[in-house]
Amino acid sequence: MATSPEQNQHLQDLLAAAARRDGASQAAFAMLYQSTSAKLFGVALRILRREDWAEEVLQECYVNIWNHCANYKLQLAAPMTWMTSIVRNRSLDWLRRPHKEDATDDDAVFDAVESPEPGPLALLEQSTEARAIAGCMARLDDKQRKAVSMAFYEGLTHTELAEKMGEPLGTVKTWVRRGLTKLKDCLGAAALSGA
Amino acid sequence: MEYRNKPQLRDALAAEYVLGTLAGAARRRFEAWLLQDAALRITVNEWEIRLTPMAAAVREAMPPQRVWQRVSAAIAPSALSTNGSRASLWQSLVFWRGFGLSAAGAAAALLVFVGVRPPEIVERVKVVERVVERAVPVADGSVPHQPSYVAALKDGKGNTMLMIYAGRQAGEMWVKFMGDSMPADASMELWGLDMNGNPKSLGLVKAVGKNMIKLPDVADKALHDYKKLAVSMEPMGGSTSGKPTGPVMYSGDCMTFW
Repeated sequence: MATSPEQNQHLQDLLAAAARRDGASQAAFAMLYQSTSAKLFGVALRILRREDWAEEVLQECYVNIWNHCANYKLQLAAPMTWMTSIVRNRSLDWLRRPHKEDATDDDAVFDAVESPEPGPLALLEQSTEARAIAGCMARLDDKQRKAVSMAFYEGLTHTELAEKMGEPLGTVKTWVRRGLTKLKDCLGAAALSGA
Repeated sequence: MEYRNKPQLRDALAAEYVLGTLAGAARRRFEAWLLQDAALRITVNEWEIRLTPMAAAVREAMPPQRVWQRVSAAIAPSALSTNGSRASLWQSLVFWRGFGLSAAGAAAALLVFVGVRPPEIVERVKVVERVVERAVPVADGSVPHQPSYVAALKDGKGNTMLMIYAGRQAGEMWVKFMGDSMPADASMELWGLDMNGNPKSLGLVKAVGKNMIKLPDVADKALHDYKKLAVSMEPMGGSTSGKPTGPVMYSGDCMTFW
């Protein structure tokens, strides 16, 4: 979804209306859900790879967002960033909870949410922030980019990354660490140059 | 704890926490630190702002209806609203103003319901209806909350230029104009179009933020037969023939809302 300034403002208005807890709040929250749930479900599904888990996580997260929407105004992040972080965190917790059943690699589900790293340019170009991170991702070494994007999109740990990439754990950790440092430098420079 | 005085370590941990590679006991320990350390929360926030836009590349997937049903059940007040407010979303002035903050934002709000994928819209509107029924208390056994009429009229490029709303039992409708201006020697005339596309004038729209247009009857009767609304450019004072004579500037579906 686009996260243009107008869209951000719109989502902020909806969160504020929901936070007022008056007769309009639930309808505002319904609109918020309608505007954001497809993206957030996609994020959860990509990490969890199982529709039933993604549904459960999404449901919990929206209830959480409802309960905490009054706190949103204290946030530095744009609404979509705030909500996406909530969903990613909960998805990661869910994925790593003790005694979980294994996620079956449901190919149909995976295909539906698969997108090549670092993401189709068309989608990434929807917002300035997304363009900036896409530009900086493109500047990483191949291995660094692959490690960072697999971790982000699929919720993999270092160990899982090492297995998937067929590389030693220490090497993968270094790629991730260096990749993140480079991203930070690059994004800082992009922000300074107004890109 | 030793991490407190090590800004680089704090930054690296925050980054890996947000990325998700910080796992297991380390993740739980980090979350415990987060609760006590406001500066660390800010560092995490900054990393969220850096990395989360990558999610823009994730393909959207429509969650099944049951997710919203469960969410709305969970957030519904167990007892009906305590302040006795009968304000609906659209009656709330503040909320209307909120929409007015940006035309594109307002358009985005209505685009959800108008103009895209009709079968889904029907389903979505039902969802909102249920939500609003819950939000609006019915204390005296009167008819539960009444549907209303909503339309977003777009120009040829798909920009929403007018938003129109009428309460079901109201004798007027509200028109919000989001364009910049109109030629001084012309009028904008609003038309209701029935199933067969026959236009009937609903009055003139002024090129100012918010207009009120009197309806010949309550909206439920006056607007009931119209499937679409459209605005044409007419000579000053409007068409004299009872039909649009100038170009159609904006049009959109007229939807029964809640």
